[in-house]
Amino acid sequence: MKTRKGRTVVVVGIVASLLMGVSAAPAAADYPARSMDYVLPFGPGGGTDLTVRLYKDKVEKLLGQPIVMTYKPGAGGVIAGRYVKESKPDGYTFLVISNTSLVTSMLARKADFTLDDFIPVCTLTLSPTIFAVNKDSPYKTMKDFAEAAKTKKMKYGITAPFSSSQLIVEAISRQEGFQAIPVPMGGGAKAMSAVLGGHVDMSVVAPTGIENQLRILAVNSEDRWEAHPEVPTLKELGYPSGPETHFSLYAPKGTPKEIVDKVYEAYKKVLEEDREEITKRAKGINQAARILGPEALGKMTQGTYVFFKEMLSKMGAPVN
Amino acid sequence: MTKYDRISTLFLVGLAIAVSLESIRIGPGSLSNPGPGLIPLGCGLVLGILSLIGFFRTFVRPSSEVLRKNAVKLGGSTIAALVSMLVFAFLIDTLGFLIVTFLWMGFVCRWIGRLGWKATIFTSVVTPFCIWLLFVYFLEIRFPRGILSF
Amino acid sequence: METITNVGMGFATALTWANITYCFIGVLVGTLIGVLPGLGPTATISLLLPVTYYLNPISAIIMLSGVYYGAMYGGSTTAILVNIPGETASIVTCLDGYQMARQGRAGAALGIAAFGSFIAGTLSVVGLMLVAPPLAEFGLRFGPPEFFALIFMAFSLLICLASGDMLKAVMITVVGVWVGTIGVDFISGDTRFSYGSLTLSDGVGIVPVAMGLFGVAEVLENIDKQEQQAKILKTRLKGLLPNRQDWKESWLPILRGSAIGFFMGTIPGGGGVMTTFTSYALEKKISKHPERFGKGAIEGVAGPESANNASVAAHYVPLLTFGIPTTVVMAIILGGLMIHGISPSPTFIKENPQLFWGLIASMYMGNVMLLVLNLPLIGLWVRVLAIPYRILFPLILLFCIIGVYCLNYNIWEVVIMVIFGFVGYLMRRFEYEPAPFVFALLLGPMIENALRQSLIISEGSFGIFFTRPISGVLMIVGIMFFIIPALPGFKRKKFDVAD
Repeated sequence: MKTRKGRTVVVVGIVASLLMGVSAAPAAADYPARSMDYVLPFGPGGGTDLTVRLYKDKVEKLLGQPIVMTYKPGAGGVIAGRYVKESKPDGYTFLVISNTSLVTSMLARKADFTLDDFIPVCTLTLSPTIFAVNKDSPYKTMKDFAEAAKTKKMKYGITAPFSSSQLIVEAISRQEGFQAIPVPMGGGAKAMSAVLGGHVDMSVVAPTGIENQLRILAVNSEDRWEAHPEVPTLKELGYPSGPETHFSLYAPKGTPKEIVDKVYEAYKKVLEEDREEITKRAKGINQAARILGPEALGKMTQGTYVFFKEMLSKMGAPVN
Repeated sequence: MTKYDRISTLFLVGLAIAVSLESIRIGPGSLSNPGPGLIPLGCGLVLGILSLIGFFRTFVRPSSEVLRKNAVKLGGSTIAALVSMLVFAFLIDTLGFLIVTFLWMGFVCRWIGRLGWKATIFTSVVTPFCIWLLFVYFLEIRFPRGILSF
Repeated sequence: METITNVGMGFATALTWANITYCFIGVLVGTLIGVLPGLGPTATISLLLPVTYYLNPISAIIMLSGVYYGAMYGGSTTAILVNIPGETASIVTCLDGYQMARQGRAGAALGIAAFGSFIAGTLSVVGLMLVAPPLAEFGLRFGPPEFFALIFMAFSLLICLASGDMLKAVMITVVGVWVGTIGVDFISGDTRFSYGSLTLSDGVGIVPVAMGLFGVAEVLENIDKQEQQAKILKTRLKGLLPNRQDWKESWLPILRGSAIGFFMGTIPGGGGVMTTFTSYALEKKISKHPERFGKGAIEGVAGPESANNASVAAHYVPLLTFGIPTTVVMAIILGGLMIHGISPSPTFIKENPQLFWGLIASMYMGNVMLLVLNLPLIGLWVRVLAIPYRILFPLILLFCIIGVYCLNYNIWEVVIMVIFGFVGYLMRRFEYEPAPFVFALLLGPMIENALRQSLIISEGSFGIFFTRPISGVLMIVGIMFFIIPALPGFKRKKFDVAD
């Protein structure tokens, strides 16, 4: 909770900057000179909101300016994206979204922005995608599942159609030669309870914290999942994997590089100094703290775009 | 009133036709493999049938209802209230929430509520102030600032 | 015997001054946000979540639960006083609660809501203590086909219940289902009926619609007949609290509501509106004078309010046993638990007796506090109604605008509310009831999704609804509800809508 003093600083800061009028892009040394605007595609309490809050208090302390959360929910990220695209690239506005949601909104949701409209700043957390089956199911490994799927049409729960979960399963099923039918459940928790209750054969979603009651066959990530290191990655098993989902910061095109780097450095420092605390907080929302820089995020986002585009056209889905 | 029932049912028939046509365009799929258009199509068809029944019923069953004393007379107050709320919504982002609240309260109190000038001014000033106090100061919820700096 | 020691331990944990304070803060904040527009329990609880980083797990959960309880009750307050549902679940309370207020019986309505909630809360906590794990199992067995059957049954109740013209009720229900399809269809990913509007592509929100149809439309209607209205709202306070007659009529609905709320709350997705709606429908169905409903029947408040509160305790059942959150608020509470390193599981209760029983005790405490906090406030609330309408109504409208705007900061949703305010006004003139529309708007998408998910799973076979035991039973019950009124021997009186 902000203090009265903090609030006074904000008010004074805003009045001062209004009085000063619009200045040229501020020098990076002065940055940040006022509060930073984080635009979120979902409402308070949504995934991105909680992600920002993992770091928020510490980053604010380090940079000396408050982070203001601006909620622009709607259309799965299109509204927030559009808002940030049209914002001034002075380093005070950021979009908080996962690389997968960003790409989905462009390809499947008729967004009127493209990857070029944004500059990647840094990743905040990793949200692995896991393949979960019921503990009583006969499939003990991914291989069992894939084999059985050749004869029996499997149904797997996902959050939404054409999400990265579905695309990854499509990639796997094409390689292995089986068919699996996605059942959109409209939410991670719903998909989990569907597999827990035995209504679907498997669910492919981000973890919701109850994995101890299920059997996890595989995880889609580069390295093994910290929370459950005994689970093999898709790569290890020889299956195609998809892009990892990272909740990240993006800035509008034209934001000065020095500012982008400064923000990245700030997050990196916060994670280094308070790693234990942040990791604990991240665990509470089933994400893993991970700060990667602009180049890495840029490559990742590009890779996500390519993968999605390829899979969507293979599936014959309408692409923007 | 019978006349009203005829108007409303005809309107609903029209709506039903529009919905059905659009649902077919969206793609109803089949009964065993429903597409996004199936339920809307079902709605359209059912609505169409029911509203036709309702329409013809007005001829068969002369209205024995008591003449309603509140017929649809769109009073000036009603329209003013609705329009003012729309204007309110559109001005929020440009003028800022508090100013618009002030203006709107003034308008509504004076012209719709017919309060005296003193009461109007009082309410129009106190209300935005209380809102500011409660939401911005205590709860720290951002409202669009518009042209003000708070 | 072990249970009693546990309960004792639980109370010992909960009844520390610190925890009592946290509980109180939670309930207070919750009631405020339930009453105030623009803040739902979701937003608030997630705003409070970081605060809980610094608390110990028990205190944190106690506070968050208090908020939830408070918000549930606060939502009913506005529903009764000004016909604005503070929560989707409170929509049902508008139906009879507001009518009671208009008859000068706001105190009784508020009172029975408070007491009913308290009794239901107590009963459900007891239930939670006794049957948590088996109940959780039961909830887990609800997959898409069961869900479809449940909502199907709800729809058949809905249609059965229309007071006034049944044909019109069905028509407006169908319109409601259609409006519910506007927006993105999450099963196919297509957008329906949105014609490029980004706002519409998210669907027509229930909040703008409910605020418009109930709150705004009511104001519009009253502005029209200003002089008459002044008389009606200047309530002749017939006593502030429910009287003996009220209790006689309410105690069974309270018990039934508690049972309904408790059982349905364990079903993922079954809490909230479904419980209040089912309770209302049930009360109306078994009442000897169903025509009283919609005109200020106290059972129509007692039952649903109890159901609502009972479902809160029930929400914890799947949460603690399986870690499955049945509502968004529960999801955040789950996050809070996990941040503190607590992972729910079937053995959770055995492994964490102190937390579990402390939670139980605190829930009970929360219920007590709600009562203590709200009963004295009833007098205050009722006095709010005495404010001259000419000053009150702009405040009500402003209340609605803020409430809708603060949801998503989208002026178009305010526009939708205004449009529905107008539509609501017209509907009253043309004699179509708003309640079936709103319920259809909520239930329509749910039943469609359940249907399509089930058919995907069954690969197109409709048999899935009847071959599974739970859904089979519910389907048959639902079909019976449809058929019975149409049977020749069944007398259904149609009532002219008196003014």
